[in-house]
Amino acid sequence: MPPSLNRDQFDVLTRVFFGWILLALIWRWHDGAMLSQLEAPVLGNVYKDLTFWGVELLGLPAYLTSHCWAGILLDSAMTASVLAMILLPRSVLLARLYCATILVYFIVHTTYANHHYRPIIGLLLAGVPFIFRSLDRNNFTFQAVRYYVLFVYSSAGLYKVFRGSWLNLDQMTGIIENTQLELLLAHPDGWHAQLFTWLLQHEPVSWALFLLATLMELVFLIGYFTRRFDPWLFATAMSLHIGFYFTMRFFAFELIVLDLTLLPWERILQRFKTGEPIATRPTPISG
Amino acid sequence: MGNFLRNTFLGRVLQGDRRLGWFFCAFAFVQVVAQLLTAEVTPFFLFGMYSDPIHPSPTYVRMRCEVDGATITQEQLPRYAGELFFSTLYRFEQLDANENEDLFLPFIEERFGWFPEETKNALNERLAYDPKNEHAFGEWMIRYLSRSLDRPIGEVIVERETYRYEGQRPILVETKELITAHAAVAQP
Repeated sequence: MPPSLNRDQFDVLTRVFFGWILLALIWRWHDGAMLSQLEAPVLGNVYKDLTFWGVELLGLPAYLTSHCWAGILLDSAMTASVLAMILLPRSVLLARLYCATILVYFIVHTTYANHHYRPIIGLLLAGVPFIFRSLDRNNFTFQAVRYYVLFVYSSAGLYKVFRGSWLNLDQMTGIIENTQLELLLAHPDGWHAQLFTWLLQHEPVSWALFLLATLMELVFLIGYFTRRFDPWLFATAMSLHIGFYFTMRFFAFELIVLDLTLLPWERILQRFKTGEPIATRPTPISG
Repeated sequence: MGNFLRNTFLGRVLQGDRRLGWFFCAFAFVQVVAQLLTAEVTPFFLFGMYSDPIHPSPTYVRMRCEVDGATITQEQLPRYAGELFFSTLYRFEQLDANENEDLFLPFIEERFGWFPEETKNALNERLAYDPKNEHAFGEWMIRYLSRSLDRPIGEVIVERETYRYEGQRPILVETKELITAHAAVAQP
């Protein structure tokens, strides 16, 4: 039976998740990546995604980015709803407002980013467990997001197996040559460029790293059968993110918030179990 | 078997909250179908993460962006602005390499070949890049870079550089200018 969190525990969880989301949004405001900051782009890409097609046919991306007030309204509503969720963690309407606005942001921003940047999905899904009034639904949906995290990693591993890339000795060399050209030209003497050059010189080591990443992704399959290893899966996810940074210079800050569902929140938030103030709780007998 | 299913996550949700349970079942079903069809339709995503076999290519393309006479790299821009700007340049380069033919029509023919011809053409027209927007694209580069670099910009030149690797070092093979934009007037 998966652990269920009580209302007080869920309030803390809400603040942790929306705190993470707030950091992600502040980063985006700082970097000029909010819709009102895109300066009315003209070249987008709706990919082969029918939802993007629908939104494009409605004219929403162009409208939100070319009408300054509309972009500011959406960006502000999204950010304000996140701030308000930290202050009022039981506000279902604010959570719903956040989910609606981040979905629109995801589609419009990804259209003009000209790159199907999936980690933003982390920001979208992270809000979903908090949109229900029923605590049972909150708990069930939080568990469902945990399964989605397992799916993200394990499907990436399974794709590598079924598509045969895990046996491709050239795989990592091809990835580095393709994605790190800019770094090798701009900072050829930096430590990161030196690392990539070394990996290009030692192809079996590069391939072994790719194989290791594949195995680490496949390990998440175990999470479908037991929760016992969840803290280890969390550590594995963090190791993958660190590894992605060193070997691909890719850091998915927005996706990491979903990895938090693998933490043993019931144990972490035990002090909130009865809702009693900490000082009145009996002192545990030690030793 | 029935007991096993009841003890699964979906089984427990169905027992505790039938509507939510069926919603999860439907979501999981569509997600599996999307995987099998390799169809990515938000919110049903595929997480390939470099799973297609990749082999070293004879040459690689790099987009070089010159702002008022100095090359700027993605790292000189804030992270998300740099990603957005340079990804857009690479898309512009792909369109140029493809003689401004976007890739939607072949996809529409493949998946929606049964649509009437006028619908397919209209859909393609609404979704595909219009080369007439090149001037506006140049103006957008000026505006976005001015904001990202936090200074006024007079001229932006975008070039496609082709490289090949020799002894793990990239060697420039060819350069082609793709677009030049000026603060007042953008010229292709």
